[in-house]
Amino acid sequence: MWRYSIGCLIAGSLILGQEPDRIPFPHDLHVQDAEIECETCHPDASESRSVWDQSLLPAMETCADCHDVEEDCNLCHTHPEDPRPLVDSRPPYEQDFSHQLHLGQGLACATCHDYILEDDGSGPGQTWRLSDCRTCHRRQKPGFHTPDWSGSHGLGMSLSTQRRCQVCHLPDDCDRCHQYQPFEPHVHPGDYIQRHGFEARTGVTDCGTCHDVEATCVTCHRQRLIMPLDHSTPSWVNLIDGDGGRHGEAALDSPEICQACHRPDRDATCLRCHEE
Amino acid sequence: MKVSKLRDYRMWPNLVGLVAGLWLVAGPADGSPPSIQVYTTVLTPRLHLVETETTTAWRNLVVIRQPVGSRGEWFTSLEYGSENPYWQNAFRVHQLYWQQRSGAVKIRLGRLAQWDALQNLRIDGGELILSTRKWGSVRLLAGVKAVTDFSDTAFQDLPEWSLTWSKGNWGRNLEVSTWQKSFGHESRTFTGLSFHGRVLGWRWAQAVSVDLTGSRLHHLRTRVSRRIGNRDIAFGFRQKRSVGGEVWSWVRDPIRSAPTVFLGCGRERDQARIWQEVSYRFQHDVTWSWTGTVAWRSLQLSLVAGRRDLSRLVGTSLGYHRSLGKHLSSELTASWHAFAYGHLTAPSPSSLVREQLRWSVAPGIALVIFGQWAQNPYYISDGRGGVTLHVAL
Repeated sequence: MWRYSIGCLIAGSLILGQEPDRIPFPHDLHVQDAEIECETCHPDASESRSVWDQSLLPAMETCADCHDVEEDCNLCHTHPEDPRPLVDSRPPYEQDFSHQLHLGQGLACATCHDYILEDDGSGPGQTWRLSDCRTCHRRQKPGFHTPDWSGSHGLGMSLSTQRRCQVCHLPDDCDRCHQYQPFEPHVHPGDYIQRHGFEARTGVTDCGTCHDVEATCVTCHRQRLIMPLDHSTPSWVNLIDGDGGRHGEAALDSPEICQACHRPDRDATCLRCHEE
Repeated sequence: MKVSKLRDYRMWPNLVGLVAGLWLVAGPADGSPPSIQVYTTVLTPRLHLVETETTTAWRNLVVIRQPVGSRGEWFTSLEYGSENPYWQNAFRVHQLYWQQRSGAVKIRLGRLAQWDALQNLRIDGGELILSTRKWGSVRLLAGVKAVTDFSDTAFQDLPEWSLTWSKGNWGRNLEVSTWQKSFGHESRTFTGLSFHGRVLGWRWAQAVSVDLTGSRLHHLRTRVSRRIGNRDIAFGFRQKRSVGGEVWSWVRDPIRSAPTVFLGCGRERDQARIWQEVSYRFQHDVTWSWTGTVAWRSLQLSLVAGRRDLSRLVGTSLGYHRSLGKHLSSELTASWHAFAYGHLTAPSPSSLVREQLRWSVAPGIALVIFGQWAQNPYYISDGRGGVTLHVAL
């Protein structure tokens, strides 16, 4: 396995170690020093509704308005012998962005792209960061984030809505509340253990959205032999009146909850008392 | 290489080493800066509420997002920490995948988590998504059930997969999916449909799934809501059959798994949000519950009350967040509940107080100190405290 790993590392180094042609564009020189307006090179930005629009990036003809692109290749290309088109820093993940929507609401380019004022082109060319989106959208939540959003958001999750979610949310944001629970009690905070049994039986929340009996209830109630508190109350079996108490009704109402602890075969559970 | 070999716990550190090595090579070569978040937490004397012995629980959670080129990305969410009742092994891999986009096609390979209205899957395998503006998106997800802490490598490797078609956005979308999921040593196949959209001025959210293996309804959720000015109203229905145990043969109506209806209303005004909801569950007993939430600025108050035959529950919870200067913030949670099991027993009260102090030491570095004290009939008392160091690069 180690030989395989090292081989892959070497191969990866050889493949990825060759730096391709880049166009290190000094925004500070053009925007700060030359005071060129953003619209000069990005005239279609105000109409763009997707970050994938090709028109967001200037073509070489735009550069030709000021530079001699036929003769002075070294001015822009790091490897003019193998020139490649301008590659921007658009995210490889799901975020999309409507320039039309944001510029239409009066935002300035520098609201999100303030980094480029100091970008001398030597870096990776990233002109925005996801944290910029959060500066506003952490407070200005989308309209569909209704007051009960924490309890209802799961019902709207689908393949086609994930791209929208990931404008603000990271790939592990679901895990942050639902998977890292032991150390970060976001979903079931406080003394939730006191009310979890009641909620499971009354339907305050839809436990089944995330939990399955086999994976959840059994962990404590069968493996650790923890009996629900109501099992020890006098009315649970109620042998005095002879009506069986509440346990029979519970078994009829929610047999699957009972089966978190009690084996599904009738002989082992019910016939111990109910012989016939 | 056989799948069962891949799931051998001893193999995984090698694979993770390989991934980390590729990341170290690919990141600098491409020049794209990674996003790295590290959470280090130490907590004592217990992590799980039912632990009786004094232990020190700790974990290091590392989340790395490394773009490679303009279309590729590594994403890893790894955890190394003490063994505890939740995780049996020290090494946990929540997500670890390579993602590549090319036009309308997106491919992910590795350990993938899928959260959806219809199904939640976490698999070791691959995902292929084909997205078109006109015809919507199709996703094929296939692999074997992921065991986050590699603790359960003894059972058979059960395949899990899903085939999904979806079209729309948050305003209106439709999704149809068929999937297979493993429960212990058993695999079951489901099919389902979810819909989200506006009909006659009301917003409908609907998800229904059928257990094809058992030929029965598996999950049904409906939520209908409407915003009128700054007020919201919602009502709906939910019912789910849990999987993991066979229903007793003598149960009279096996399809009936406690359906619940609910009605909620809320209001949003300035910095205040109010939401209350009443649920009624169709059972032999009178079973209802009421929850109310009031949020105002950084203060939130929640109330809950309910009844199931002779059992009654009342409770309240208060949460408060306050900034103490530029670098300090404090969070306080206090809750109290009382649960009565009938006329013959006194109500069992419980209470909890949790305080958390967050100190932004420097840009990208935060220290969180927390402590809580709880009393509950499940145990005599529970006090715990800890510290989390969060570093974001």
